[in-house]
Parts: sequence; structure tokens; C-alpha cells
Amino acid sequence: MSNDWEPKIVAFFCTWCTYTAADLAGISRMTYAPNGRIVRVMCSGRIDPQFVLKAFADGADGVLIGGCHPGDCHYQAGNYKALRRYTLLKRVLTEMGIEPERLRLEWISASEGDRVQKVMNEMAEQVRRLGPLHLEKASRRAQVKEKEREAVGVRS
Amino acid sequence: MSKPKVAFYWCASCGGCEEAIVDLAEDVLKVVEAVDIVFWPVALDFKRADVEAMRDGELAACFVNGAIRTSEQEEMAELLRKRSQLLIAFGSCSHLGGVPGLANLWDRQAIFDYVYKEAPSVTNPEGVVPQEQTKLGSNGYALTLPSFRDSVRTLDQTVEVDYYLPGCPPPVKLIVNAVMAILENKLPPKGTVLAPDKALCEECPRKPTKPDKLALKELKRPHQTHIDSEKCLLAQGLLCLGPATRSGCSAPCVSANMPCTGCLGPTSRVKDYGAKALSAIASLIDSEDGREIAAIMEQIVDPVGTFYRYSLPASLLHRRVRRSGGAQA
Amino acid sequence: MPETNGAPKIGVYVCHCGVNIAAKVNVSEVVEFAQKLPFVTVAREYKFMCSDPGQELIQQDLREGKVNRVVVASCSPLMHEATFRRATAEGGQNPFFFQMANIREHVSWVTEDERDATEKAKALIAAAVRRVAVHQPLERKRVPVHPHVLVVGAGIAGIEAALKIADAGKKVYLVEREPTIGGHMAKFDKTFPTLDCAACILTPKMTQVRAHPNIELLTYSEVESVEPYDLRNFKVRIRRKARYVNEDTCTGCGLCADVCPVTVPSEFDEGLGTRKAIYRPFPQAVPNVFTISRRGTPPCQAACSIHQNAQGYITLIAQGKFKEALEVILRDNPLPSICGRICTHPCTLNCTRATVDEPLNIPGLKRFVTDLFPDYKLPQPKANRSERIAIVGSGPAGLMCAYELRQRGYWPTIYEAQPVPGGMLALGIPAFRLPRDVITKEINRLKEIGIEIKTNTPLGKAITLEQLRKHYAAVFIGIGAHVERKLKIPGEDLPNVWGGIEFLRRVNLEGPFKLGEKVLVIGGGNSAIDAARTALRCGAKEVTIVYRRTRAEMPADPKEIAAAEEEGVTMIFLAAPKTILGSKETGVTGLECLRMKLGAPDASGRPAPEPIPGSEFVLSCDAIIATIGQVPDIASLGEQLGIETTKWGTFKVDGVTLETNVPGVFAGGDCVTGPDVVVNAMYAGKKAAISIDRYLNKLDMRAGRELEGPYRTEYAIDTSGTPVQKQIPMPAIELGRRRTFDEVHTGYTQELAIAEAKRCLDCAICCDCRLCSTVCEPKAINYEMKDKIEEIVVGAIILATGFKTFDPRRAPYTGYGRYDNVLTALEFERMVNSAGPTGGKILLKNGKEPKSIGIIHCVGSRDKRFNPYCSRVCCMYSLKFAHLVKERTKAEVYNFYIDLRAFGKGYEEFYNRVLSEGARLIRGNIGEVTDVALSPEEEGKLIIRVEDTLAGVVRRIPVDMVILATGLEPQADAEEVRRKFSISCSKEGWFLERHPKLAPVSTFTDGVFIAGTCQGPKDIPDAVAQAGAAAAEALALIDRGFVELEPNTAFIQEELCSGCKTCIPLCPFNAISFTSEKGIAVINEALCKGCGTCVAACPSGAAQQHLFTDEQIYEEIEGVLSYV
Repeated sequence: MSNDWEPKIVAFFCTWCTYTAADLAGISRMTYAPNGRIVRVMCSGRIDPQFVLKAFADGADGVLIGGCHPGDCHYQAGNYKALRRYTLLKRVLTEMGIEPERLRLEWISASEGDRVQKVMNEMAEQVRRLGPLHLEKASRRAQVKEKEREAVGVRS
Repeated sequence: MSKPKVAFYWCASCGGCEEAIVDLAEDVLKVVEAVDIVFWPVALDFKRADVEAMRDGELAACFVNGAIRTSEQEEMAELLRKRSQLLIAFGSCSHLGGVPGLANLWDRQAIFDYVYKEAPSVTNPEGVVPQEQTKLGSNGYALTLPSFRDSVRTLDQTVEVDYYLPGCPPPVKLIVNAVMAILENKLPPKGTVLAPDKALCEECPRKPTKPDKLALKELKRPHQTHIDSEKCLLAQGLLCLGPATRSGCSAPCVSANMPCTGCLGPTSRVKDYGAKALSAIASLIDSEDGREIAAIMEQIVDPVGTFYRYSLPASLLHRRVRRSGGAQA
Repeated sequence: MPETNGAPKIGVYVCHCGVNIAAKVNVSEVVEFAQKLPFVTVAREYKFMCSDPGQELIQQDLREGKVNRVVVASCSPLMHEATFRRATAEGGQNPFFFQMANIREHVSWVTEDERDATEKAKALIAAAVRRVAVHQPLERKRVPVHPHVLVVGAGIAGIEAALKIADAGKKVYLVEREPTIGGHMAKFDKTFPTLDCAACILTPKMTQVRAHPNIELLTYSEVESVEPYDLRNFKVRIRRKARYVNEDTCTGCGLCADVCPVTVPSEFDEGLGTRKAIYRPFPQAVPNVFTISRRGTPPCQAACSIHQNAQGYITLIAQGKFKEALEVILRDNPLPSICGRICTHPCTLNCTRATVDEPLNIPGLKRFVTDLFPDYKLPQPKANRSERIAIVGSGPAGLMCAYELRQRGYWPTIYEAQPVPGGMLALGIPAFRLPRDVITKEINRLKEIGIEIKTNTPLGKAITLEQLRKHYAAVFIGIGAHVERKLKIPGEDLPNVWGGIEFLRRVNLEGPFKLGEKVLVIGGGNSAIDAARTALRCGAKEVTIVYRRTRAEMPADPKEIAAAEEEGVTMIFLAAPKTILGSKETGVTGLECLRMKLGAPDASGRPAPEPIPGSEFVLSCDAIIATIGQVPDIASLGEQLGIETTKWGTFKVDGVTLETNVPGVFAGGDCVTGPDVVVNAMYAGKKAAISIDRYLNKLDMRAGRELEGPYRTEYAIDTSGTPVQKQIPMPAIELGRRRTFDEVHTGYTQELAIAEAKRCLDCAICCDCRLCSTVCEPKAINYEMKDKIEEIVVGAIILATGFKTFDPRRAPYTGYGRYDNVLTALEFERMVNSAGPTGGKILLKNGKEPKSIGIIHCVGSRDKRFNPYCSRVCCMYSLKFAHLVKERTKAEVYNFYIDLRAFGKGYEEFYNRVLSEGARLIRGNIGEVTDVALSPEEEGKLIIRVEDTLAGVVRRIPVDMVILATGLEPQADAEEVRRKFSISCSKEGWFLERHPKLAPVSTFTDGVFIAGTCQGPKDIPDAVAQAGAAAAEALALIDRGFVELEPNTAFIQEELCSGCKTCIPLCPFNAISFTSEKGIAVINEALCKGCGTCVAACPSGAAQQHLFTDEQIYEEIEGVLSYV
């Protein structure tokens, strides 16, 4: 791999705890690795394993999931659903030959800005060590078809 | 006036899809009445040359089953695409990659090593492996074999596909509807999967017995339990993927006490069958403790084989490119 | 299909946020980049997008139709999303055709490198653009907000907030866990910098709270749970702790406290003063009512079979309230003068004092009271009934049963086989331990209240059970165990060989008689001791106890053994009788014994004695008394009466009701249990009485009797620091007189009794003497009161739960807890408070006025070992202390500070004023406070070792008193509380505000606000100001009467749902249900809170979430990854 390669990381953060913590990190001017791209969802329970695969498929080298600490979920138990899906998904990814370290789940409360900084840095470092995630492109046809699927499916 | 010309072709498949056509029983006569089958390697003695001889678009429709694994299958797929007005991916393998698609967990090297050398049933002291080019005898007559690609692809990952007939094999009902739709020219938008767009529970005989609030403390495999033939299988702890799978088959497996394994693939809104099915099942696990959750998941012996049995090549990840050719797992 | 607004025309507006963004992100490059993105028609940059002109930019483009969807790249959506949605709406588009890219908090503020920052900003903007292109128009739903408000914590902040809201005409529930409102401020004397007295400015507010028609004050109460009542309101359950005083009727007159005998340290006075068990923290308390501190049944009372309230009468004795003590005693015990002498006192065995030095002599104290009033009377029965009850046996069981029945109005008749009543009390216990007249008096008292006793009437001979059953409504049999065990050795029937009970009975009935010179007593129990001591009093010269085990195993009461030895009884241990020597003619001449050794423990857990073969030896004697226990042996009688018996020859009864197999016939005491102690026999009598009463009233005889009889109580009392003071021995007659039957122990004098009683540790705090109820005119006291749970619904909650002060024990260098004259700030506040323990005088422990005082700042604050933060108030109150000291004493004052922080209005001026008053300031963090003197002038002083960082020298300052400026900490249960209200805490544990600047009193949970020190250290003015702010927020919310909800609810596309029910169990709010007619799941939008968990799980993608559809999130993912 060329040494100017930088890992891309997509971070799915819940509004109430982890996203707020990321804001706090900003307010506290805690600089960290620029590789993370935060996608906000209301609750870590909203995170569909498809999102994780989609991120990998679209070129992410690592995916981070952030939710409220167990017992602190703004919606009572969404973070437990996230934990269940994450556990099974990680097994599947590993069997498909994707290093488990590329997917990480973290409980970060609204007050833990420093934790966001720490985790973002660790994750960037971790993935940098692993190198780029090369997925075989499932031919041009596939993407075309996907758009068509959306045309008849999701958008209706 | 001449009847519309139709072709059937098979790629990386088991032949079950051909059986499905035979299974049309007397309906097959209707089909034969209506159309003129001009190419069907498994049943009729036409050759590739005959197809090459046709005009582009001469075939009204071509049904291709099986996944794409070899160079020959790629060539045939491209050829038939040119010659056909409608190209229909027939059956799970051409639709999503099917069971052969699970080979994508390994690469060619690993597969050859195992199949021709490591498998316990193999005696191959010289370690002979099929070659694409082979010189025979002193006159050096050359034999050519199609090249074996590193990964399995779906039909639409190879050529443009107009419609999909899902299933392993596609249910007779769906085949007939499709043929009639073609004949009566009542086809839905291009790219459509020719099956209902609701999940299987819709037509499952056990639907009424499914509890409103299901929570799974353990996951069983069919041989591990005595299955109640009335009750929802998921409610009995059996990994039934009906909730994530297209209907249209009238649930023959479930009726026969076997959980749905998902051969008709996902509904139109779902991008990745395995991930979605996994999400639904995992969500129902009845525990909030990390260790316990993992322990319950461990009861799923082969997660990829379970959730991606028919759709690994069509998954969002498609497949990881191995750095070394070594076998995974 | 969603109605859209035609092909997307997206406007991208990039904010500089002054330099906040522009300094790191190359804005113009980003704008240029945005220009090229699909569907983007306009891309602009501006200094402050959130400003009016900034918003105007957007609105203009919208109005002119240049754009129909908006992306603003600026700060966090949590900050300005609302602002720009409004702008979009005012521009004529649906507010949800808007998406925000957070390029400040998530980019410019957290990225080192400008290139990186710029690229990251591009990615986020690209994502926002792709996302907004697939946004759909949405409508906000309105839900009503309940008009009532809950304020938790009634310190100055809570009070202020409650008053503001109440004045606005809204109903407020004000919950306070303490018995009074006022919080910390109520403890202060003066308040800096204005030096107005805290009480003068606080108490009027407190009174307002009490008087306010819109405030429902719930003191001595705690929030139990908070649940969503509906989408936007709260259902709160509040525990009203039992204060055992009726708030509505108590007039706060205080008579109760005057009579209350229990004194404990006052929490309000920080332990410097004391209060009563029934108390009011301070005179101006609101509500002005009393509260009783009760910990539950004390161990002594719980251990007593008849639950005699020992702590009750002991506390009263300590107060010299002897008459009252007697009343408490007679509440549970009709035979106190007997129990006071011979009870085996399980109470003392469980006395907490034993863990310090020795238990109290509880029976001794009881006896003292009964001796003091020899002619006391038993309470008269409250009722009279017709039924007559037959009781067989006048021992403690029979007497107790009769008393309890009589108290319930029945008419008991006791049948006694012996010529005298009292059973074992009269026959088995010698007069020198229990004088006969004591027994007679007790029995007469029982007769006085209408209990009939017929002596010389043995059951089965003089009367039959049939007769009794015919003439009486019920029968209780308590005939004891009087048949003696035999030695079963040769010579047992020789003359002058006595059984212990046989011997004692004869002496008790016929008086002393000559036994002989040398007497052997066989056995080790209390009756062996009694027999031996009686033998001495019958003129024996030499009395020897022969026991087969050692002293350690003797069942007799050690005190009794000691007494016997004192009187000259000798003992031979590890010896067992083999043969009694002598003849019909000579009578007993000696006893052949075997030496024993101790073997493995037997059933009783004591080592079993084993004979040593060939170790025979002979003791010569004139008489032998064998006291090796008794058996009921009523097998034959039982048969005759038709009552089932056990294989041990006791009556068989129901364990709970004591009923025999014969209906209406009950039995208890030794005849059921075998030989046992008096108090247990009394317990049996009481138990039977309860059963009989229920039996005759046709009530369930079993229900709710779990707590009858002895049990252990489960709470620990902190006995640390209790000075050792051993039990006071009870006076006895001199040895010379111990050959008569005069009572040996003469009982405590008043002085001794009071001294002994004062040793009580008040385990249960309230001693349940109930004096208070006797003086309470409005009859406000209710000992049966229980905790109550109240349920309310509110639309807004304000948390003002305050702080706790740092505990300087954690900082040993301060010497706190080690040296008397090291005080915490709060302790000093109480000391200087004119209403405080010293009446406002500044005094050392020895009562003298200090000549010099050191005030140490930052104790527990600005210190990595404890709390990193500044507590903000310590500097100023330390200066206030300096001023007060100067004002009230001639003492020298030293302030030891790190930095002086006088930031508030008038603070710096106050600082100067205190300086001018001559307070000395030394800049330096102190090393330690010690009493180790290095020079004469340091002798007897506390020396503060400090590095004077201005002079650059280490100094030792000797002072008389040290005041620690202890910092502020979150309440110990802050974590628990924040979970209850589902809000967040900062790392230190302070409640977290929604935004440190723009939303300082809001939390991340809508409708929950915070005020005062629970949010962080602050002084009174700030706390009050914040309370006002919180009140305004709450009012704004409930006054509008509704909130508009984020339309991010989940929905199910009917035509796509297969009815697989996967989503239903996942919804924590039960918003999803299954409709059997359609065979699909439906979401009740009114209950959906919009987490989207069901959407992520829906296996066929039929469920979606507004604002967060799969498609929108996919677009965002593709967006963030497509460029960089």
C-alpha cells in the first residue's frame, strides 16, 4: 500500500450520548485523528448491520458504533439490541475474512468527550496497522442494478 | 406465424432448476404449445454453434440458471444476452449466487488444493491439478478447459439481467406466472424479481401460532429437538428465516417441519439478505448480558452458511480479496 | 409516493463561525467543491450563518426559487438545527428539507491539520447534500404538557424555583428528603459578601413556601421512581417516609421533645449539639412539625421471648423517670419483680453494649424499678367478657396465660396441684434468690384483677378434663416438668439421698432441715447450684458439687456459680458417680466416683465425658443431692386425659397455636418443651392466650404470628468512640449473712441504677416509651405509621438536589478527627450561629476562647488527590469566617490560600475590607496540622506547617483552632438520582447541562431541568439565579401547554408487512401491536419515541423511520465515503 494511504472510518453515533460526547470533545478542543466520519442516528438500536456492510462496501476500512452505557439508553434498551446485532455481525465478518478489529462498539456517555478522542485515535491507529480493506468489486452491473432496485424499491 | 423462441441454459448449478421445469408437469405442454424451445442443453441436442448462428435478439426470452464461475459460463452468458430480448436469471444461483456462491469464502487456489489434494477421499500422489491447456501424447494435441475464476458471481454481476425468478428451485407457480406474463406481455418494470414482495410469514401456515412477543433464550437445529408440527418454528427456537425471505413458494419446507433457509432471497427493500436476517434474529435474543448473548449466538454453528446460504456473492461485501491464496476457516 | 417539491435544487451554506471554522477549514475551497455536487444550485459562505443576515441569505434563495432544499455546514445540529429549520420554513419550504453538516464541533475544533479539516468538511457536506436530496416533507406532532411541576430538593434553589412557578399560578410539588426545607443555607449564620444573616433572608421564603396555595410540600419524602406517563409527561412515585407524627395535627408546640428521654447528636448542628429522638431540626423548620427517629425494635427487646421493651424503661430510668419506667415494664410483663430476679435475660445476651465492654444488667434495672414501688398494681382489663377459661398449673406459663386472657376480658381460673401457687417459682427456686413475699405479691396482684386460683386441685385426680371442658370455654394446661431424672446407680434409694427438686421443694414448703455435715451435690445446672447453696443454709459444713464435665461446660449461670463458691461451695470436676456407699442403718456414708475425660462433642455440642477405667475414688459424705434434671413424664396423665404425647413424654401441640389434639385444649411451658427457663414458659402462656382469644372469636389462629417470640434484629450501631465503662455490680449482703434465707442481692440504689441505665446505647433511637403521646394534646403521634407511596403526574421536573461537603477525614494531613479543635466549615458555621450549640460563641472544646485561628483553604478542592475543580465558595466564606472571628473575638486569624478568588460582585471589596480588619493571609498549600511542638510557644497548640510561597520560606504557625474550608462534592447518591431521571453526570458526578453556555439549566431529557449546586459548585446568588432560569424554562414549557415533537417516529408500510412480529417485542414503549384482521403490525405514533430499533430489525424492510429512512442513511454513508 502507498504510505500516503489514510484509513477511512465511518462512525455511527447515537444522538444522546456518543454524538453529544463528540460535540463535547469539540467544545473542549480535543483534537483527534481526522479519519472518522460521524453519521448520527437517534439510538444505537437504529443501526442496521446493513449500514456497517454498506460502509465497508463503499470504501470504509473501519466502522465504529457508539451508544449509551448499558442502563443509560435514552430509549431504555436500544443499546442492548445494538450489542446483540454487533456480536453476531462480528462473527460473520470474521468468517468472511474481515479482521474483527475493523468493527468496534463503544459505550460513550455524553460527558466522555475525552473518550471519543481516545477511541477515534485508537481506531485510526488500529486500522492503519491493518491496512486498506480490499473488497473485490462485484462488477459494474451490480451497481447499475442496485440503483434500479432502489428505483422500484426503497424510493416507492 | 412462428412461435416466440425460448432458450434454457445452466451454469454453475445442480440441475435442480431443470427439474423445476420438468415439474411444470402438464403445464409444460402449455409452454411448449406457446413457445418454441430452440436451446436447452440438458434436454435437446443443440450446440453453442446453433446459438452463435442466431441473430441478436432472435430469442424472445432466455432462462439462465446457475451461478457464474468459469470463463465458458461468462462467454455463454454474454452470447445469450446478445441473442435474447429478455434475459431471466432463473433460480437462486443465478439470482444471488446460490449454494455454489459459498465457495467465495475461499479462493481458487484453496479450492483446488482441497478438492484435488487435501480431501480425505483423494489419492493424488503426483498432485495432478486440472490445467487450462494440456498437451496430449507425442503429437502434442492440445486440450483446452475453461478457466476457473477466483470467485463465483451472480448472473447480473456478469451481464445485464431483465428479470429474476427466485428460488432453489423456483416454485412452479412463479415459473408459470412468469411465462404467462412474458407471453401476454404483462411484465413489471425491468429488474423486478418475479415473486411477491412480502416475506414468507405472510403465507406461512404456522403464522397464527407465532407469539406477539418472541424472545429467544436458545437457538436449536432441527435434529436437536422434537418439532411441534403446528407451532411457529422460530417460537420453538429453530432458526427459520421466513420473516426475511420473499414469499411465493407457499412455504413447503415449513409445512414439512423444516425451517425456511431463505432461497427466494430478500424483499425489494433489503440490500443485504444475510445482514438483515441476522439483525432480526439477533434483536430477538433474550439477554442484556454480553457474555450470555455471545453464548447464545454460539449455538448458530455456521453463521455465514446460515444467513448467506444462497446469497453470499450478492452480499454488499461480495467478497474479501485474499492476500495469500490460503484457505480461510 | 411522498409529495416532493420537484427536482431537488440544493443550496449549500458554509459558515465561518468567525474564525472558529474558517481558521481551520478552507471555506472558499469547500464552497467551490460543494458547487459541483449533484443537485446543488447555490453554494455560499458567510461569517455567521446563524445571524439574521445569515438566515436571510437562505430565505432569499428559497423565496426566489433558486433552491428548494437546504444544507448548512456550521456547528452541531444539537445547537442550531432548530434555527435553520425555522429559516427554511420561513423561506417557504417544509422545515425538513434541511440537513446540517457539523463542521465545527466535529471538524475545525478537533482537527490539527488544515488540509485534513478541509477534506473532512467536504465529506460531511457531500453526505448532507446526498441526504437532503432524498428528504421528505414532514409534519410536527403536538402533544399536551401536564401543567404541574415537580421540584426535587428544597434548599435555597429548590425553594426559589418552587416559589417562582407557584407565583405564576402553577401547581408545584416540592419534595425534600429531610424533615424540613432550607437545605445548607439554613445552617449558615451570615452570608458573604453582604453579611446579611442567612436566617433573616431564608426563613421568610420558607414560610412563603408553607403558606403558598400552589405549593404542595412533601418533606421527609424521596422520589422512588420516574416513568414516562405518555410521550411528554412524567409519572412520579414518591415515598413519604413515616415520621410517626401527623403533619396536619402537630402544632409544633415541642412538649413531646421536652419529655423525650432519648438524646442523640444533632445532624443539623453537625454533631456539635444534641437533639431528642422526637425532634425538629431547628425552631424555624418548615413544616413546623416534629419527627421521630426510629430504627426499629432494639436487639434486647427482639431477643426477649415476651418482647419486654428493655430500652424503653432503661432510658426512662436513666432520666430518673421511674414511675414511667414501671408503666413501660408492665406493658408486656405481669411478673416483673420475679423476672427482675431470676430471668435468664436473653436481652443482656444480645445487648449491643457487650461489643464495647459489658452488656447492661437489664433484669437488675427492672428489679430496681419494681422494688422502688413495692405496691404497684397491674393494669385493669380494658374489657370484660362472659367466657371463663380453665388454666391448669400456676407456674409462669399458667400465670402469664391467665393475665393475658384477663387483659382480654376473659375470666381465668387456675387449678394448682400444690398447696402453694407459683409452680417451680415457688417450689424449685430458693428464697435467697427469690423471696417468697415477692412471689406472693405478684400472685396477689393477679388475683386483684380478677384471676381465681384454686390450690391443692391436681388435674386427673381432683378434677377431670371433661369437667373443665364442660364448664369452661377453653382449657390451658401448663403443669410443668416436676419428675426428677434418676442417677440409675446402686444405693440411690438409701436414706438421705435426695433429688434436687425434691430437696428444694421440701425446704420451700416446710423450711430448712438438718441434712448432715458433709453434702455432695451431683450436677452442674442452676438447680444444682441452688441445692448446694440451700444445703449450706440448712447447716451443712461442707458442700461439694460433683460434675462430670469441667467448669466451662456447666450450664449454670456463671454469676450463680461464682456466688456459690463465694459462699464456700467447693467443686469437683470430671467426676461421675458410680456407686452410693452406705446402708439402711448408717444411711449414706460416701460416693464412689469415676474420673472422666472430655471426648468428642455430643448432641448438645458439649464434649461428652468418658470414664477413665480404674480411676475409681471415694468421697465420704452424710447426704447426696442428685440434681440432674427433670422430665415432664405426663405420658400416663396424657393417656388418661386423652391428649396425645410425644416420645419424650411431653404434650404434643401445634407449634404455632399450642392447641392439643383435643379441640379447645391448649398446652405450653415445660410440659411441652421439657425443662426450660421462666421467660419461655411465660411466652408459651402468652402465645396460648392469643390462640384461645382467636379460638373463641372464631378467628384464624395462625395468621400473622411470625414475629411472636425471640428473633435477632439486623442493624448495626456505630459504637466507635463509646468510652469503656463496665457493668455496675449489684450490691449484696455481706458473706456472714449468707447462711440465712435472706435475699443475697439487695438491688441497685437510685444512683447506681441511673448510672447503669445511662450505659444504654439507644440502639433504636426512639425507645418506644410513648411519653410523647401522653403529652401530645392534638394526639398527633402515631407509632403505627408506615411509609406511603404517592403517585403524581407532572409535565416538568426541576432537580435542585444540592451538594455534600468534602469529608476531611479523607485528608489526614488536616488532623481532622484526630485533634479536638479542628473544625469543618459547616461545623464552624453552626458554632458562630447565634441559634447554634454555643449560642454563637467561638469556643474551644475546653470552653475557652481561642487566641489564634487558622483557616485552611481548598480542603478537598483543586487537589488531584481529591477533586480537581475549584469549589468556588470557599475563598469567600473563609474571608467571612475571618471577619466573624475578628468581630467576636480578639483572636489572630490566618488564612492559608493557594489563590484568592474574589470574582463576584462586591467580593473583591469584601476581601479588602477583611484585610483591613487585620486578618492575615499566607499564600501556600499547607503541609500538615500537627500537635508536635518544637518550641515552648508551640506547646499545647496546633501547629500549621506551610510553605509561604510569597516569602519562599517554610513556616510553622501555632494556633488554637483550625477551620477547614471544605469543598463541595456531588451528593453521595447523585449517580442513582441521575439514573432515576435519566439524565447525565459529568465525570465528577455533577448533573450535566444540555449546553454549558446556551442551555445551562436544561438536560438532555426534555422537561427535566437542573438548578443550584447539583449542577456544580456555586454560591447563593448564582444558585438563586439558576433557580429562576430553571423555573422560567419549566414555565415556558407548561404554560404553552404542548410541545412539538421531532417527527422522527417509525412507521410500517402496510402493503409490505408480512406480520412476522419481529418488531413487537423490541419496542420498550409498547408502541407496536399486531392487528389480526390485517395480519400485520401497526405502530401507535402517540407512543413511539423514535429510536428506530424496530426499523433496524424489520427483516423485510417494511418498517421505516421518518428523518432516518434506510435510504437517507445509505445516502449519508455513500456521501461521507465518496470524497476525500
